[in-house]
Amino acid sequence: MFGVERALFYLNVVAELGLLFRLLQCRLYRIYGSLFLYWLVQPIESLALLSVGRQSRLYVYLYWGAQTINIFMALYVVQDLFRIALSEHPAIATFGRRSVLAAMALAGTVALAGIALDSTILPGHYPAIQRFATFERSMNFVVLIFLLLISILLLWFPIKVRRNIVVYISGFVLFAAARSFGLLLANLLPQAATLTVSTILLGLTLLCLLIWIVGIRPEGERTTATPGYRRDADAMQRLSRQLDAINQTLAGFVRH
Amino acid sequence: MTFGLALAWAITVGSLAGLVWWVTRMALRRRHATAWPDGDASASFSLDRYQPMAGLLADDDLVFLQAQPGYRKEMGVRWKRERRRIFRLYLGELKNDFRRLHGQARELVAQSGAESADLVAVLMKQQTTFWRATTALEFRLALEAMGIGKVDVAPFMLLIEALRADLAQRTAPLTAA
Repeated sequence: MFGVERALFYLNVVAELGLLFRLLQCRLYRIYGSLFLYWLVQPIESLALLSVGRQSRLYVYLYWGAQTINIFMALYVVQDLFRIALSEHPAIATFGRRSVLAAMALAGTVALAGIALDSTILPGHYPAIQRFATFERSMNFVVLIFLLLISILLLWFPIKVRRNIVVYISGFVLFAAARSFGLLLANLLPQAATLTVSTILLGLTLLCLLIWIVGIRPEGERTTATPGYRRDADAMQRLSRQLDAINQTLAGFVRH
Repeated sequence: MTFGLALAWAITVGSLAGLVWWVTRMALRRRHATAWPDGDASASFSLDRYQPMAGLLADDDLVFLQAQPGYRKEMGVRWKRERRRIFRLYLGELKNDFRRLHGQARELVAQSGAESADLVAVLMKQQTTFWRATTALEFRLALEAMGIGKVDVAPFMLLIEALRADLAQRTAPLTAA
């Protein structure tokens, strides 16, 4: 399993570089600057971690530092995503800016409610590492809830959203959900399962990167044709006819 | 498992499942969307169409039926069941009409400038009011089916009319623009 984890780690670095190249090649790095920056930092962090021995204290500190940067960058990424998605809709964008703090507070409250889920430290687990994982998974949960709230707002309004934004959000939802629940599992399961969880997490991260590499395209900047909130016309007309028939019957009904 | 831990699991999993269900439902609705004949939804919307709803749940017809020779209790039960079924058909169409109306208002707001930002909150409030009212009506309908209480549709109709009028008034400047 260790070999698989290592291989996935290297594949992730390659995919991160692949995504950066793709964003540069398609000239989308300016539009999705936050995403570009987020994945630009990842290979640098990976190289820094690789240069230090895995079992050392410095590795742990470096990992914590890198993940803290990642968490705050992820918060920046989703806020930027929110801005990009609504940039063509000034009324909703203005409302969004006003309510972004409320949405973050709501997401934070939900995440805070789940902080006790892995409060028990199992034998073989290190308290400091477990507490950091709790912090990291809670912040990822905040990102996840916030992304879902954005998705609801985008779907509720019959607005056109660029295909790239849909891909961007979908990838980040999967990424935040994987990290949030993966770290929770790592804390809840015995020490022996940590490597398996880590391998699965790396696999899911690779999947997200592939979704972005394949899904984000120059033509994806054109708006999608999803005009909105209309029901199945045939079903509606059938129902209307039924009701009209009932209306006529009721109108003609004479009680004796 | 302590109560606190159970609550933490319920909030975490429940909120996430709820949000995912909501997003999926809305996405599926979009995917299955087909072109509705274009036109002004507010112009075609009329509460007159739903006037029979009040009569459907009134007791008058049942009292009349009970007075007829040969009346049996199961006839009354079937009568009520059928009436509820028809009532639900009306309610379903009323919901669709409101959705169409509200969807049109959201479309107008989505295409308008930053000065209409306050309307977003108004639309959200209206949607919540509508959900609350329809859920309460359906709950009362279910209770009535169990023989508990009566359904008075008049306040619901008044609310829908008020929502429609409010929506029309608030989006009138956007329509004119």
